[in-house]
Amino acid sequence: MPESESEYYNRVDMRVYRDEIAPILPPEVLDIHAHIWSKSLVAEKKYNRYAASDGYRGIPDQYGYAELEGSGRRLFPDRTYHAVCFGAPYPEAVQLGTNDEVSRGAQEWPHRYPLLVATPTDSADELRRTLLDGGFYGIKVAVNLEPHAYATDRITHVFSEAQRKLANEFGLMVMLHIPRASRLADPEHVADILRICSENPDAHIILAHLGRSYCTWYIRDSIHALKDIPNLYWDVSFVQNAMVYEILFESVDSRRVLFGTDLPVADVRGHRVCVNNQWVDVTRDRYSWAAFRREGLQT
Amino acid sequence: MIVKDEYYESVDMAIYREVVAPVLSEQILDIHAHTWVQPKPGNKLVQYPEFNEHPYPMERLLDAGSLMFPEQTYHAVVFGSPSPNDFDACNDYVAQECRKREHLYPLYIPDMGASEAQIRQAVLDGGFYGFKPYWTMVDWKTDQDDVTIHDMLPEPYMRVADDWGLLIMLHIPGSGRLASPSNIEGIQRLSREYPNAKIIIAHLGRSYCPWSMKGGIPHLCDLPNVYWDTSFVQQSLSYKIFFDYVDPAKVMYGTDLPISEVRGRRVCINDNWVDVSRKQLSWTASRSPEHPIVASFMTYEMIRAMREGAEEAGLGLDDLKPIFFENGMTLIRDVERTLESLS
Repeated sequence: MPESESEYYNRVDMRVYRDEIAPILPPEVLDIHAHIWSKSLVAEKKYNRYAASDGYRGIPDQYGYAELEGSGRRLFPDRTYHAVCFGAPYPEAVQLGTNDEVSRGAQEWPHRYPLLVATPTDSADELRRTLLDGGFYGIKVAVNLEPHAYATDRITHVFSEAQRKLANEFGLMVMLHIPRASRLADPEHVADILRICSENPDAHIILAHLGRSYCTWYIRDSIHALKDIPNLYWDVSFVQNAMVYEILFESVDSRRVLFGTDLPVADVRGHRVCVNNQWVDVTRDRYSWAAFRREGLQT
Repeated sequence: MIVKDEYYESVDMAIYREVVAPVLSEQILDIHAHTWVQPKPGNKLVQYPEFNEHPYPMERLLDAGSLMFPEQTYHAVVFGSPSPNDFDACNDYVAQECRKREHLYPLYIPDMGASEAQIRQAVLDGGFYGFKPYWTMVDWKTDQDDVTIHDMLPEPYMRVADDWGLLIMLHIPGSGRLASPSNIEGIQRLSREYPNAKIIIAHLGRSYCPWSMKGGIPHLCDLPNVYWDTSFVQQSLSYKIFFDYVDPAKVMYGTDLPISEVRGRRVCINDNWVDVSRKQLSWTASRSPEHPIVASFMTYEMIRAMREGAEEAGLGLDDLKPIFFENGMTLIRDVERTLESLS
């Protein structure tokens, strides 16, 4: 008889949890990077428009606060789970009302800290009003994905001047998912981050996914310029490359490093690996965007 | 089989120029390469059926070597398939093929029942540079975890290796890999009792994941006659930990051809290795044919990982270059001198 989901969870997942995860956790866990979306609102807009990656098809269309709570309980069963939450981070999702949904839910669920998905076209007045009305803790900078290339804008375009001023004025968190295929290794990005942090010293700039450093080459050289910026924080969500962490912790004070999951994608069993300097998701189950063994990963 | 097509020119050769060529000189020594004729049915090696169930003749190995290292003269330490029902024919084939060509250095797969006199004669007759023991040759044990280094290397072999200063390409057994106390003790014992044997730990002690390296290397890094073959290790953190302990002069590059013809990478998931490949193979993880991974030979990914790990350990390109030729050739020339004096 094939092993059930709960048997696998107890045999494999919980062994990893007990051996490797629980020993480093405090009684409460803060997930700095979690998504929320509902089927009715953003089912068609949560997908990455960049066709080459085929989006994340197979990840639940409905992933609200209840589902996030379920993931938190499953992943960290004996800890209180806190999460910084935001919607699908694309301009199209904003137009469909993802921010209202995230804000409303955060008032109903404890330990949830919503961020506003902001686009470069939002005016300063609009942003101020939405932030205050919605009880947002900060901004998740939207990513302008393009049909034939990953987002190609500069950081100073997607993270607009209006957003920056407001973040500085209110001391907001800014979850910055940097664009471009060159990621953190892009010299213009490094220059932009240095300038933004310096001009907005009260804003808490959080580099999502360590600047999308899923492989070492993105972070290896650029980290030296960025390691000592007092208002720059490092969100490790979805980074699964041990050498990247070796490089990170050689340079950056661990007090400026924040754990995040990037749920719901992180519910997938597998590992993001690097092959030929590109990331590849290797999964136990079959997904159109992942690599998997035909007989399944048994471990 | 590798074909010199557009993909080879645009992808493989781009990586060769960027990642591989900078650490190479005009010659390369592959310390770990296989060749075999048509395997007999009932082969105990059930892994990698797309390779192990088919011939991998010397011509194909040499083609692979010249396509992967197009600007270098390819040298290789070569051995057959370590299967109890095949090793004899493999040993003969390897000896015969190496005799016909330059730059090839055969190793002998041990016949577990041979006497010391028979072993000496086999080495001299075949021109073997040493031995390639393997757990599958221990035919009285079926579970790899029960096999010890001592089982794989009967005393007569070690006495000959010690006497003549031969190479021992040691693929350590068991799921504990380099971190296994039994393997650690076994390597320490061989090093101590046979100080003239040149013991080469294959695949960095099968440290495809960092835990194996982390658990074993502190106990083994200073043994004077123990050397390290990097073949098939593609995990940069394993190299980082390794180079924190081991002098690069004790290290040799190997491919483990034919398996490293696969385009992809050996990665670690939940502390186990998984081969990720561009093409769908029976044992690998791969994406759909519509979105194949843009990958090159695992041969190259070993070098990429080594460079990353070495850089983090504070080594430069000049420290790495001897790993690809000089370090291994020093051992080979030493064996050559002995064999010449005996003949």
